[in-house]
Amino acid sequence: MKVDGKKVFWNEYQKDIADDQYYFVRSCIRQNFFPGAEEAFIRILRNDLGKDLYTDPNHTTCTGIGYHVDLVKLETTMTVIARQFSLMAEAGYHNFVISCVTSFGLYNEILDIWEKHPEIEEQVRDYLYRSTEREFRIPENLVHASDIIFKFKDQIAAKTRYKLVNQYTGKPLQVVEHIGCHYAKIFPEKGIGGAEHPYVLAGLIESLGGEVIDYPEKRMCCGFGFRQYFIKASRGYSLSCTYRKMKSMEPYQPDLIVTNCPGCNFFFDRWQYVISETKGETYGEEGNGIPVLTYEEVAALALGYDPWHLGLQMHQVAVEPLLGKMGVDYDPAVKYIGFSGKQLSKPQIPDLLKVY
Amino acid sequence: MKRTEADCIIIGAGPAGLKAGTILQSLGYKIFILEKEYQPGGKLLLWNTLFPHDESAMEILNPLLKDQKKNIMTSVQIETITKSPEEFTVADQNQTIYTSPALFISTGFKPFNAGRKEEYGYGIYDNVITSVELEDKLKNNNITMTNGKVPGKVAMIHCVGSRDIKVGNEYCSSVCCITGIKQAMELGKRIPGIQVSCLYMDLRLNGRFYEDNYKMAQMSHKIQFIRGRLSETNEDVDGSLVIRYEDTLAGKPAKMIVDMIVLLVGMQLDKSVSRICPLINEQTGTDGFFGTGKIDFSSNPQKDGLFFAGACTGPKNITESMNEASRVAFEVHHFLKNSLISEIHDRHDRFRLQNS
Ligand SMILES: Cc1cc2nc3c(=O)[nH]c(=O)nc-3n(C[C@H](O)[C@H](O)[C@H](O)COP(=O)(O)OP(=O)(O)OC[C@H]3O[C@@H](n4cnc5c(N)ncnc54)[C@H](O)[C@@H]3O)c2cc1C
Ligand code: SF4
Repeated sequence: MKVDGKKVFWNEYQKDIADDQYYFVRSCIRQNFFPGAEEAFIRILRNDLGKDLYTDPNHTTCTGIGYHVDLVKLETTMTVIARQFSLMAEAGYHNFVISCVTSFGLYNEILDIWEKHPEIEEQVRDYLYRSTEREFRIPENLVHASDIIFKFKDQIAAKTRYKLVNQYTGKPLQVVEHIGCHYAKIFPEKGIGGAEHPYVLAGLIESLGGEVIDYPEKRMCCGFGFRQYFIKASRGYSLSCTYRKMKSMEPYQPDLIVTNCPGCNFFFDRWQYVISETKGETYGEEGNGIPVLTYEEVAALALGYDPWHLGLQMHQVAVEPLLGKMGVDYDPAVKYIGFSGKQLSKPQIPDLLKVY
Repeated sequence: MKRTEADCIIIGAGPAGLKAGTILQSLGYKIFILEKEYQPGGKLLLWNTLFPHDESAMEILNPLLKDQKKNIMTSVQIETITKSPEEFTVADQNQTIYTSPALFISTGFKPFNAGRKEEYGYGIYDNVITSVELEDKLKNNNITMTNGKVPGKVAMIHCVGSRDIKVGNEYCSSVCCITGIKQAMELGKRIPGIQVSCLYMDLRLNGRFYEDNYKMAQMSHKIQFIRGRLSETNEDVDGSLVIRYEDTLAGKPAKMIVDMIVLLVGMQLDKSVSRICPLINEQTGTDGFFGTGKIDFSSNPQKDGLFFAGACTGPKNITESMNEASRVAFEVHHFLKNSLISEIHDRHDRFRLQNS
């Protein structure tokens, strides 16, 4: 492997990422799956980096999942997205930041349609006006939230309390990075590092002291793949994709998987449990799984945020082995105590996959 | 500043330029062959043995250089090319000026930059090489991988940078199928028991004796031919290469594990002269090579003293390059003869006018 060779691609795929004043749109599903992740992004930007970030309670879904499973018509999707842009302008912002990779792909797809077919954009302006009496402006800068973390990775690294370094061995942690398909596979030029050898997460991992693993099934889908999962009959297909990826990364003994897409994060995390139950296999040390974190969760953990405040107890695969390796100072006793101080219900202990 | 006059300046001392030089010199013309590299010979310097008859490249080159050495200027970096009604003026990095009524362009081709097919892993994975690099290994009789071992299984990938809309080269490079066969057989001869698979789009073997080579490859060397398109290359933990391709006959995705991949790179125009001379650049055809490719030569750009031959007018093998160079050399001869006749007529007319 020639890492210098990868740098050539990384240099070719750069993009403009605004410096400040962001209008943030959330993901529909992330807050249910990993409730602390978006909150961590907001806190890092506002508190650690001193940026102005606006979260708007009025924005809605982008319709991405409905659109990709053919439930929502393209015209409807475009009008919904036009409304989000209109909300951004109303709030006085120009830089649009998207939490979800599916949304990011969809926004870019629609901007591309409008650029190539201005008559469609005009039609959508009309739809929006007729349905809401709103007008919209196309953002000056439109990026994914992981792009912002990438942009400030060195600033984040300079403030970290913990590194992605194994405190027992002094060696860099071995990290799998997985990029959501819709981040760069539709428009490679919109992704940092392009579609084949993306750098958006690899750059962050390197800055935090970890080492990225390049394994054979790296570029394959996580298994979510919309129809694969949403159509119940093909869920086995979703599971077998994840299984293939896990088997492919297993020989590299990863300490951590980092993703930038809600679906990928969920499926790597939850399917490890299902695989353990159905195949009797686990991929971490001594019956543990491989912890799966989002880019903000990793950054926040390195910055010293409390893992339970980050909601890491909501991950199916226990994060304790990773916390141990990173040397994170945490209290195991309060893992299932909520913000309100009340005891949360504890998960059932599976047969194989270790849970603490 | 040194000024040198000639009847024809030839740019490029590959097989085409050298062949044209030999003919024009034998017809009594004063010529100069300007070559940017420090040695004349073009790609003949790089290749080991040549299809279709396994001839040694050096044995083809040596007779072409015979009696011509004094005409060949090497390490010439051409800086400007201009034209007046009477002549072309070529200036190099040492401010040496060459003038001549005819300019013969035989600048050949540049191999496609395989790094542009990011998914093939060239420049990233250790044992992904190009056909140009394999020729070098064959020439030095050192067919080893980066770990010093001899490969046991090799995949040769056809159409790399040719017939590919994505990279902007829709044409067929015409020699890479047979080059792949030549190289696969050579590997078979040198490494007993080696398994070589050629992944082709369709085999374009429309040169004399090419089919014989194809048959020999299968019968004597057990080369496997798979109609398949590579989709991605990855490296496994043991350094072997995992390739994913579509078997286009079976209509199924497939996987293969090999030690080495050889990318059969296509041809692209060497733009070093068209970049500095608009007159030459104007003659670039829609496929990126010089000339129109029309049967009717009169519609070709061989007028006003500007001539083109060899791989710079489209992908060709060595025989075709030299054949075209021979034909065009005779056109230069006609042009120079006609120029001489019209000059004599002019002089005669001027003489009559002065004395009437
Ligand atoms: C991997 C591979 C293997 C091949 N093997 C065979 C084979 O076995 N048999 C066969 O018949 N064909 C083979 N070919 C094809 C063969 O290489 C070409 O047909 C041949 O090289 C064309 O000759 P040419 O003189 O037109 O161009 P080239 O050989 O490319 O020569 C052009 C010359 O012009 C020079 N030049 C370019 N720009 C300038 C400039 N601005 N100033 C001065 N000099 C300049 C270059 O340095 C070069 O010396 C192979 C091709 C490939 C890619
Ligand atoms: S000669 Fe063969 S390998 Fe080369 S571009 Fe044509 S079909 Fe592809």
